[in-house]
Amino acid sequence: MPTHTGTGFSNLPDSFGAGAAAAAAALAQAGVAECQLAILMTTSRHQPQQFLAGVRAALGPRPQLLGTYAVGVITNHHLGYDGYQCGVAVLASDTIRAHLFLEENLAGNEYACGHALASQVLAQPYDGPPSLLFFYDSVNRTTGRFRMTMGTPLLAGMHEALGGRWPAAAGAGTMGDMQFRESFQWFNDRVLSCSATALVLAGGGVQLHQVIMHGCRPASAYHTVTKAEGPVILEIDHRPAAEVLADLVGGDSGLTFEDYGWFITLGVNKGDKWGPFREAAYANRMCVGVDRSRKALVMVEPDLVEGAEIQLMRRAFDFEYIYTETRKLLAAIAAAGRRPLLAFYIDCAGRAGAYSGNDQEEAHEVQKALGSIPLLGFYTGVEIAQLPSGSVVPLDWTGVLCIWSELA
Amino acid sequence: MDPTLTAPLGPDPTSPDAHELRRALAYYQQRVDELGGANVQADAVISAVKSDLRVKNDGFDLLADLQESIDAQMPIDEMVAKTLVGLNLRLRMDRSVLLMRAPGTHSYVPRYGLGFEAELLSRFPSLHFDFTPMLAGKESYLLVNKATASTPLIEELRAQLGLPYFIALPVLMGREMTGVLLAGRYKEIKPFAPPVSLSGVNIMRAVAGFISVAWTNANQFILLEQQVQQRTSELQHSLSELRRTQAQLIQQEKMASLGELTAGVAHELQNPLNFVTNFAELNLELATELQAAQAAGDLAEAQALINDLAQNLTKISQHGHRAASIVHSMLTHSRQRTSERRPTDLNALVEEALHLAYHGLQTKYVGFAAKTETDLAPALPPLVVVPQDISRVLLNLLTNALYAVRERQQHGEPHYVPLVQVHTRAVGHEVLVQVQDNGLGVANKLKTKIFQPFFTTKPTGEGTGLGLSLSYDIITKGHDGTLTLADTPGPGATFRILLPMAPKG
Repeated sequence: MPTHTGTGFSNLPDSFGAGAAAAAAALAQAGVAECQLAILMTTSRHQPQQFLAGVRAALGPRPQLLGTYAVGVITNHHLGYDGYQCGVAVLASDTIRAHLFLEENLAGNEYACGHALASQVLAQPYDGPPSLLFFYDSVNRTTGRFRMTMGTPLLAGMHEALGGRWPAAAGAGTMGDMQFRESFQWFNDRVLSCSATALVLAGGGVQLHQVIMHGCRPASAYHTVTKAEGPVILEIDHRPAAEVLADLVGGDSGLTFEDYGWFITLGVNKGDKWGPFREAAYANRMCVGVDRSRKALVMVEPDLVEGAEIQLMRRAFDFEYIYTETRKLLAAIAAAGRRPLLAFYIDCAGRAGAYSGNDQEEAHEVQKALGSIPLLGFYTGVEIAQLPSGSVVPLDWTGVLCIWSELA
Repeated sequence: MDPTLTAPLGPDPTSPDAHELRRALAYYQQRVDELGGANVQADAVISAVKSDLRVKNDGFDLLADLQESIDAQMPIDEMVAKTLVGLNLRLRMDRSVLLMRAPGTHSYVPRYGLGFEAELLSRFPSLHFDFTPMLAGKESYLLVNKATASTPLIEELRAQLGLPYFIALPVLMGREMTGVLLAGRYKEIKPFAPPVSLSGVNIMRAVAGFISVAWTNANQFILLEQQVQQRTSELQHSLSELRRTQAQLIQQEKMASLGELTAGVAHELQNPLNFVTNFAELNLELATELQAAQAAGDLAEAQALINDLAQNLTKISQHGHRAASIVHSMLTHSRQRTSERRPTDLNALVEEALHLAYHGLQTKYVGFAAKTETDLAPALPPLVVVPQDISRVLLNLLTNALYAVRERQQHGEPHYVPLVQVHTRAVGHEVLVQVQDNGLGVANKLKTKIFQPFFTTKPTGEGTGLGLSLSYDIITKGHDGTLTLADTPGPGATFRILLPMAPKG
């Protein structure tokens, strides 16, 4: 049997009904009555147990399930966020095998959790080169108050366990809304919180392709972080970080500290410092807040440490590059004699129109470019992608398009 | 060692060139920063404008959705539910509620809600809020953000509805504030941005206006529907009454027509019966004389008397047969089915109808006399018609004509001779029957009405007004012919019937 894939979408307010509808739609698009694997995405407006029950009602007890909360969902013909959106992707194949892995107790334990998860992945024998997709719950409310679970230490633990030899990999730090309310994950029939999960597809010649798209270009010279404390940048070029930003953006800009949050993006060039600009070489870091008392910038990840060289990045309003890059990726897959099976778009929630101050949705370009190739995407907090160098890094303000393919 | 290998690369860092290079680098770095910063700043402004535009677009989309999906026939509950769903989804509100004013009070009670837990929804009827200090008039609104100064009402709303940030504004029916539309969020949508804004107020005001109009229309539609139902019921009752009355009138007309027919027949019978009676009485006298002659032995006288008796008996027999013939004809007429068509001598129907109509009027109006003339085409082929129906039409037209000439006669015109003429002739594939009189005629303004049911110029009680209408239907619908009032010069009226020689189908 050839591999079949499909995706389905629903925005029904009833959680059971939404799960059933999205799962049924995915099966319908795949053109099958049964599947081996389903990936689930839903916003925090849904009740996770009821949603799971709805999915099971449509798919039956056999398929493996993996999923997570998301700020919003994207499929071939729908996208939305901050509502009742949900999406399901299904895979039916005789040759491609899905392997699921789980590590719990993530909160405050990122490094060890990442290490254990990657160890599980490493220990499993596969029928062919594995491709890895993993999620971690970025919302930590175990103490009642919100703390962000960091991707950097999690990835460090995974990197260590893998000996620096990553398979083709992508992932996300997930959350169910922009208010950082308690977030959930699905691992088969279990509903979890504060966990890290992983999916490995292997066998049947399956491969994972990806392209990193952020549309940002450097808009300043290089500046150096001279003091930082976790995700908080205290000083740049030996001056209070917020003051440096104020100078950069313009003293008479009219912008306040509050305006910086979610608009200012700093970039780190992981490639040739003086070479031509390469989008894939840049890791973006979004400023999510300002510490007024310390005139410091609060970032998503704690990896802008002392000595890190940063540039102010300018975001693109024109999303044509997304269409172009997606088509280039598809062309490369076709040139390799392969057939795209399923597209998975990991999109920074900050890029959604309502949050980025845009009247257009950049995800529309992905939908257009992919055409009928089944697509499941989601809006999230941290996007994790593999750089050309092979290292896997957390990113902000980025869309990571992953496409699984098999031999044509 | 080759000295070139140990020579420092580039210029001496302490040399003037190196200093100039560092200055240049610093200069260009600053220019790049300025240019880049200015671009990012401009982007931020554009972003703010686009955000505002997006909110407005969401508002327009919401209003368009509501306009498309809600109509006056929709139950009010469904209409409000659709509106609140639209508010929550399009404007990304966490909760929305429509409160309605409790009658006779200044309190507003939550009536429709979306996004609330079941337990809170169940407590809605027990919650009361007085908005009057803060909401009064069409333009008023309440916008509660983080920095909004707290009031008892705001704190009560926050506590009871579980919404820290919200917009509330009035729903007006006419000038009366009958409701409050409230929607809000738990947190800001975009971090650091106000949870609710003036753009949201403007959109919600439009939605409140929409609710107001839709609710008013729905109420009016319900009222209108009730009125329509009532009116329909009244009309149906009237229609039933009219149909009953029409049936009665038609029956009356038929009876009147029958009455006229009977009068005519009675008059016809009167004549032969008079002869029978007279000759019978004469024969009684002759019989007495015969007895006397026989007793006197006067055979010659007796023979003469017997001859007279035989002659009179012959007359009695003739007139008796004539009466029987009239009765037989009438019985035959009444036994025939009105829907049965058969080849009929039209001229015979005309003559018979003329006799009956004339004698009918004479019976009704003692002393009435008029001149009647017939000009009947001799070789008229038989027409396939329903003889009874055509007879009814002819009787009606001739009766009307005789009535008209009598009316004119009553005016006492000197030298006036009442005249009714009847013509028949073939015209192409049709047969024309023309009934003409020199009576008072039909006034121009009435000519378009004479074939209408219940239209009559006769005094009340003297006509049902259905005769011409029924005649018209018999000729046009029953026989595919035409019946018209001709436009002829001079006084009087001329009615023309055209009947096809061959029936259709």
